[in-house]
Amino acid sequence: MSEFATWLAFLFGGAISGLIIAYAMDFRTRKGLLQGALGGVLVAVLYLLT
Amino acid sequence: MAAEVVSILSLIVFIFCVLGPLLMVGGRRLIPLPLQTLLVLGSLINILLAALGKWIDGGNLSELLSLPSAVGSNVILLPIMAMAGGFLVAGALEGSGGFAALRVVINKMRGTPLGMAGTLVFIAQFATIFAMPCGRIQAAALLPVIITLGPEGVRLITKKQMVVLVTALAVNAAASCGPSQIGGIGQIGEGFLQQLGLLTNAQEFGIMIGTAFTALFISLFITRFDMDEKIRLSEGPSELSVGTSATSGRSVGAAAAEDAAVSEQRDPSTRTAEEEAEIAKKFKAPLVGYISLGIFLLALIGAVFNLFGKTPITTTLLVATVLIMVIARLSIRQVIAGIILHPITALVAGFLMAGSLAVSGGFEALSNLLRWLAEFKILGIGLGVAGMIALFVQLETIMPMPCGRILAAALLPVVVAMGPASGWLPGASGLLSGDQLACVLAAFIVNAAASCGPSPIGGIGTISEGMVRSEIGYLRNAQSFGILVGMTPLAALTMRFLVLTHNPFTLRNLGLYFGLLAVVFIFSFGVVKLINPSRFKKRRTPTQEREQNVATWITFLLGGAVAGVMMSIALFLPDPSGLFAIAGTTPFLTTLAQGAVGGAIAGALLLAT
Repeated sequence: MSEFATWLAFLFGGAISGLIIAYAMDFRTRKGLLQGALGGVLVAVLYLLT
Repeated sequence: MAAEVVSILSLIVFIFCVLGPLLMVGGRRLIPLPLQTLLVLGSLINILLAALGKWIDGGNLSELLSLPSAVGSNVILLPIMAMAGGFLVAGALEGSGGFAALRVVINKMRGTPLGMAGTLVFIAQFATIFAMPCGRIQAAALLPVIITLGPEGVRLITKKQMVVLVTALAVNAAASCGPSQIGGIGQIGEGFLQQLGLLTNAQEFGIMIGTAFTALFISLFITRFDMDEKIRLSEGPSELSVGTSATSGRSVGAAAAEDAAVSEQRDPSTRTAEEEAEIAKKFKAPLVGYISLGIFLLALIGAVFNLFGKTPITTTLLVATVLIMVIARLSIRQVIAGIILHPITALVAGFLMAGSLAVSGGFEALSNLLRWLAEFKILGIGLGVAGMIALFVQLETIMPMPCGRILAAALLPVVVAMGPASGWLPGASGLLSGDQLACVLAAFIVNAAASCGPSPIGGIGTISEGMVRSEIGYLRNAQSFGILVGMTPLAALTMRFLVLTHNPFTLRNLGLYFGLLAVVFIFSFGVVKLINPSRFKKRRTPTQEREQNVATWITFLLGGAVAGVMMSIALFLPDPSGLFAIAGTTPFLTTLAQGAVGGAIAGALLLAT
C-alpha cells in the first residue's frame, strides 16, 4: 500500500509538472498539454525506477 | 574565555569567506579570489585562531600540533571518490559518443506519442533521471540538443521556448546532484542518518515540481515583459520572423502570443519526410556510442539496485569506464577530460572549512546563534524554532555558491546537531526528533544542491544565460522561486507524509499530502499569474520597471511565507506517533505563523543577495 502511495504521488506530480512546463512553453492546445503531461508521467516513472 | 572568543571569530571568518565573493562594491567583487582559495585561507586562519586559543588556555604543544590533522580528518573521501568515478564515466561517454547517442534518442522521441511538448518536458527534467555527481555533466550533454533544436539551429522551438527550457534544465541539473546515488550531496546526509537512499525520493519529488515552477515563473513573469530587450539570442531566419518584421514595435504580450502560434505550427507531425531527414542529419552517433550508453545505464541501474552485490559504487563506475574505454578504444586523456575539478575542489574546501570550524568551536557558536535566533523575541513575538528552520533550510540559496557542496559540507554537522544525537557537539541544541531531522535534511540538501543553479559566481545558470545571451543573473529569480516554493518545502512534505509514514501507512497522511500539494500548486500558479507585471501595462515604462520590482518582491515574500508554512506543517503537525512534537508549549497555529515569517524573511533575503 505504501509503495502504491509513492507511485500515485509521483505519477500525479509528474503529470502536473509536465502540464505546467508545457503550458509555460506555450503549448496551450489540448493535445500539447496532454503530451506535456505524458512526458511528465514518463519522467516520474523513471525517477522512481532509477 | 579565549575559546569562546575564538569560536565567534572563526564564525565571522567563515561568514566573511562565504559572503565576500558575493558582495559587489563599485561594480567589482569585494574579494576577487576564487571561492575555494578563500575557504582554504579561511580554514588556515581558523586553525591559527584555534591554536592561539588553546595556547592562551594553557594547551600543550602536542595539542597544538594535532590541530591540522584534526581538520584533515574531516575530509571524507567516499563522496570525493564517487564523484571522480562519475566524472570518469562521463568522460568515457563523451569520448565514445554515448552522449551523442543520447541526443539521437531524445530527438527520436518527438516522433512518439510524447510529441514535441512531451519531449521538451523530458529534456527539462532529464538531468535528475540519471543523476550525476555534478549537474554540469548533464547540462553540458543536453545543452547542445537545445541549441540544435533552437532558433539558431533547426528552429523546432521558439526563442521563448528555448529560454524556458534552458532555465528549467539549469535548475534541474543543478539540483540533480542532491539525490545522485553516485556521490551526490544527499549521500552526506544519508551517511549521518545511516540509511543510504532514504532522502532520494523526497528530493526527486521536490525537484520535479520545483523545475515546473521555475518554468512557469520565467514564462509568465519574466519573458513576456522584457525578453526582446534583455535576451540577445537571435530569432534566426525562421517562420518566427514571418509577418513580424516590426518586432521591436510590438507589445511583449503580442510577441508571446505569436510565439505560441508558431510553436503550434511546429508540430513534428506536420513536417515533411525531407525536413525530418534534414533534422536527423544533425543528430548522429556511432554504434559504439549506443553500446557505451547501454553499459553506463547497466552500471547505474546495477549500482542503484545492488545487482552486483556489495560492490562499492566507485568500483562499478570504474569497471564501466574501463569497459567503455576498451570497446571505444579511448585514451586515458579522453577519459580524464571528463573530470570537472570545480566541484571536487569545492567539496574538499568545504570539508576543510568544516574541519576548521569544528576545531575552533565555530559550530558551537553557530548552534548557539541559531538557538538565540529561535529564542529571540521582541514584545513577546519571535521566530521560534519553526521560523528559524524555515529560514535556515533556504540558507544555501540565499548565499548561492558555485557548488552547493561548499556550504553543505560545512553546515550539515550543524543541521545534524539540531537532532537527537547532539552529544558529539557540546552546546548543540537537540531541537528536533530523528524524523523531524530527516525532513529538515531532505529540504536543506535539495536546497543546497539546487543553489548552484542561480549562483551568479559560476553557477550552472550562468551557462544557460551565456547560451541565450542574456544579462548575468537574468534567469536567477525564476530558479530561486522554483527552489524556494517548490523544491525545498515539497522535499520536506514528501519526507514527512510519504517516506517516513510508510510504516504504518495511513490514508489520513496521503489525503493531507495531496491536499497540501494542491495548495502549493494553486498558490504558485495563482501568484505568478495574478501578480504578473506584464498584466499591468502593455508597453515598458520606468513605472512598469518599478511595478516589476514590486511584483517580484510580493511574489517572493508570499512564496516564502507559503514555503515556511509547509515546512512547519511537515515538521510540527501533531501526529499520533508523537514523533513530530512541537518544541516547548507553542500552539500549532503560532508555529505556522512563525514558519510563515521565517519563510518570508528567507524570500526577502533571496532577492536581496
